Amino acid sequence: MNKLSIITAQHGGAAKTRTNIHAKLLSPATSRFLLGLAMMFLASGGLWLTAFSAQPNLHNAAHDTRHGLNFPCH
Amino acid sequence: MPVNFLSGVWRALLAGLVAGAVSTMTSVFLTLPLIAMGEQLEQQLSTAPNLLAMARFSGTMVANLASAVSLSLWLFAILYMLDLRITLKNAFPWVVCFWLAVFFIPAISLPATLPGMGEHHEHHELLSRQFVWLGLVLSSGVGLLLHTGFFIDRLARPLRLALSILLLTLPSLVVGMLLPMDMAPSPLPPRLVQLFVMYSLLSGFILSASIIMVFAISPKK
Repeated sequence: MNKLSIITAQHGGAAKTRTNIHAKLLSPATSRFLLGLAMMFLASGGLWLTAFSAQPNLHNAAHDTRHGLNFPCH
Repeated sequence: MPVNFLSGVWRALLAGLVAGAVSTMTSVFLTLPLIAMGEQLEQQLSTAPNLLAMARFSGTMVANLASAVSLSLWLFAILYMLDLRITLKNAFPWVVCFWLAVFFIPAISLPATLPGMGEHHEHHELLSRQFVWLGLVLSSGVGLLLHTGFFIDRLARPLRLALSILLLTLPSLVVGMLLPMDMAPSPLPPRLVQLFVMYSLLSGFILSASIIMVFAISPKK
């Protein structure tokens, strides 16, 4: 076995161990759920800026959208 | 095969941008003229304010795009978490459910208001109505997912239906009882207010349909 193949085997083994640890910690369903939840938080942040923020500039910019799409405005 | 996360995010962004552009067009024809009339009557102006003035219109357009993208990402998050897909076959029920959850059911307790309707509450009241809106959207969304069987197959069907009916009706009833009634006289004609409520719901439906249709027709990886 040459030096390169020894390094590759060692790295491959490490990657395999890492994958196994991930598989034990997070099932595919759990990782899907967590990613989805993170996306939901991100989207809620965007919605908060346009629909809910009381900051005057944001309120003024989104005023007509808030009334038009029935987000509570005043 | 599960949906790829990144391609799903791109699809959601595309759906949001398309829906935001469509929503801007519909608001120009449906809701913005009525908002101008409401402001004109509120401030006793001789001419309606120009809602198409560059600064104001660009603000509305950006807000429409941002809210459509946010709602689209919300929908994608739910689809991804529950491993669901929107196709042309099931697009219509998705449009109706999305519209009911985000626009119609919250509007039963918190109907659309025009500027000048005398609904200038204290800040804490606005905050509580915003929480109420969010709560109504979440409860009706979960209720509809339960009702359509998209969610929690393990529950028995009668229990699922009972839970969904409870989630769809009870929050609106409780909110209706708890929120103070606005008894202040409105200077706006009731016909104008009714028309605005109807146009606001129609705009919501068009926005929902645009988001769902892009999800349905865009290629899935």
